Amino acid sequence: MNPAVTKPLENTYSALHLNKIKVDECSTMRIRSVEAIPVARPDSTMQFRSDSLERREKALVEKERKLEALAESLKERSQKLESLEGTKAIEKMPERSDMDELRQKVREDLLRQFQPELEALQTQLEVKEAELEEARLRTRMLETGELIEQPVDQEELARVTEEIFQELRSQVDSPPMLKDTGLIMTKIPKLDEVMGGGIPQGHTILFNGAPGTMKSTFTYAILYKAALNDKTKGLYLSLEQSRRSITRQMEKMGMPLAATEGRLVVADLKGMRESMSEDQGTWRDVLLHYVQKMQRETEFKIFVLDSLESFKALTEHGFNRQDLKDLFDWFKSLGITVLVVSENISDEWDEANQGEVYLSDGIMELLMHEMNDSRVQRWMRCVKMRGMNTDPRYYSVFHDGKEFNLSLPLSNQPF
Amino acid sequence: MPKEILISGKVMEPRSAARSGGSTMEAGDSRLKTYIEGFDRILEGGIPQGHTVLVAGTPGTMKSSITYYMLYNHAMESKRTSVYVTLEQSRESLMRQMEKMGMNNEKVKDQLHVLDLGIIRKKLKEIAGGTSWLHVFKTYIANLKENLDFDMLVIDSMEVLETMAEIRNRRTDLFYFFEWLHDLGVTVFLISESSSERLIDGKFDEGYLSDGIITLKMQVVRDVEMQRRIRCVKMRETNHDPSYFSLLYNNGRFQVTRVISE
Repeated sequence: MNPAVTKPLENTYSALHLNKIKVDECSTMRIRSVEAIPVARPDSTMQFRSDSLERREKALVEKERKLEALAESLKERSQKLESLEGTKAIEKMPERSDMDELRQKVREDLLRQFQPELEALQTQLEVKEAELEEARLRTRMLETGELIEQPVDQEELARVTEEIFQELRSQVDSPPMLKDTGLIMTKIPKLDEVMGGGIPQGHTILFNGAPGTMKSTFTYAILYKAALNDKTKGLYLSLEQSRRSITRQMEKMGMPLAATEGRLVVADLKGMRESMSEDQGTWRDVLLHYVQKMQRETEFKIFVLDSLESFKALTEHGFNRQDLKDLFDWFKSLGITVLVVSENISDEWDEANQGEVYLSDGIMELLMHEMNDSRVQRWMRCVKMRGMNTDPRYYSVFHDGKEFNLSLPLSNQPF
Repeated sequence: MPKEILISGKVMEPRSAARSGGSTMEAGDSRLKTYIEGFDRILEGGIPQGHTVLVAGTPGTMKSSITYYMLYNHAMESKRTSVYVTLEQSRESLMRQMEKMGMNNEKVKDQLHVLDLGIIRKKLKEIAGGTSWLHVFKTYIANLKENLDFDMLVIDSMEVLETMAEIRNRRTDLFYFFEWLHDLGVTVFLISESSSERLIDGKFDEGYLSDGIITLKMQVVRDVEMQRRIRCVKMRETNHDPSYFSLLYNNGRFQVTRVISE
């Protein structure tokens, strides 16, 4: 039975691909597995829905029973009334027409008394029935695997869609004007060559690495050199260390802040909070306002954010890829070059990334490389630099107390 | 609720004529060259027209560049029309990147259209969710197919499309999406951020749904050297060599060579 059922399906499939030389086993399996997609998806939601449906059905049955009881009592009352009227008739023997009149009057009274209640119950019943029908419909849709969306304002949707199409039409008609942006030379020996010439202005570059790989020092060095050599202004914002601790650390590395003559500004959370004491809103908003304000005041060209993980932690809600896209777009709109320090190491890219490795224009990876049992070197690699012909090799990084030095590592030679 | 905003409802009816290919297609010319020197030979001449091909790789493996390079060369050599849809990177950034790689966008501006469809999310954000996004996306691409009659479509990237379309039931939703792509009657390149290992492991349905998979990666050689690698994992209707090849980029040309030593 079974082979007879599956066979024709396979035959049709291979008939469609007569010129196919190598029948792909996976794809045939795939076709069958698609056929086998179960339509019903019994899960907790379904269970919940059927439970609530049962509850509603019970409530309705209860209502119906009450209504019947009500009708019953009405009938009883009118019977009592009739018998009462009968006795009255014997006592007083009123005119037949009078009795009719009386009966009519009582009936009307009763009706008046119970009419609103009856009507209310009737409407309730109708509403419940409509709800039940809708719930049945939803259950059916869930069973057949169709998704239910919140109703969308169709008019608004049509209007926005037209807007989108209009804007896209202009994209088709006119290619963007490409301004040739310059390069920021880091002047760190070898580094510019590795990156294919320097950092293209306006790019957002990720500096990825485990703790201790000198991410902060590296990005600081780029700012420092640019401030010294090209008189380029920069802002270093640390969400991890205090301003004092950073400046002291960098002074030890031969990069005293004073030498930049104010072209390099180092800020920390405390300083930011003091400067923005008037500002309302979430931490993230305050931070962005601060960056904007500083940009207006000092017109810095390079911005270091240390670190992306701390920035994400500052946001109260979950930080997803679209939030990140908005942030990177915002950097672009400021027209600044941004160096983002991140501890997202490359082994975890597949698992935990929130898109920064794809959203960024470039990635510099810093790592510790264990040469043998005792020797560990700092290594660096340019993973990505959009539009640049980069040197993708690993370089070992040394800091001689004054400056970084990059060199090709001697591969695996015994020491 | 109108049927067409349901994700599983087909927005566009399949057009039977569309499968026969675009206007610029010549008789017997049923494969699209990749223009990567040495790679077309591996693919028996190129990628069969109408295929949906995944181009997968981790950051910095030149997924976007290599795909754009194909469209660019088709525009230059045979005036074939194509559309490159970017969902995340801005079109300015993408085009500047390609300029720097030696491709002159001005020369192909009538054939190669780079479109930033990220604006759909920006505009829709306030009023509607994922299914409306996918509906607008599909409607727009279908309209564009009518107007430009393009032969090739690139979607960069699959992961971002999934986020924006809020795809929840991957298995069925992707199946319908691939069916829709197929019905468009164009050759489609889907850029995917999954590493090749994960695609081959079979964790991803798109691996089965696509007609072809090309993966790109960086390979550490002799502990310090880094080399680019390209591999055609799968290509229906093609007797391809599934090995890894070294991928080189010199003077504006991509080229593959056999890996000499590991």
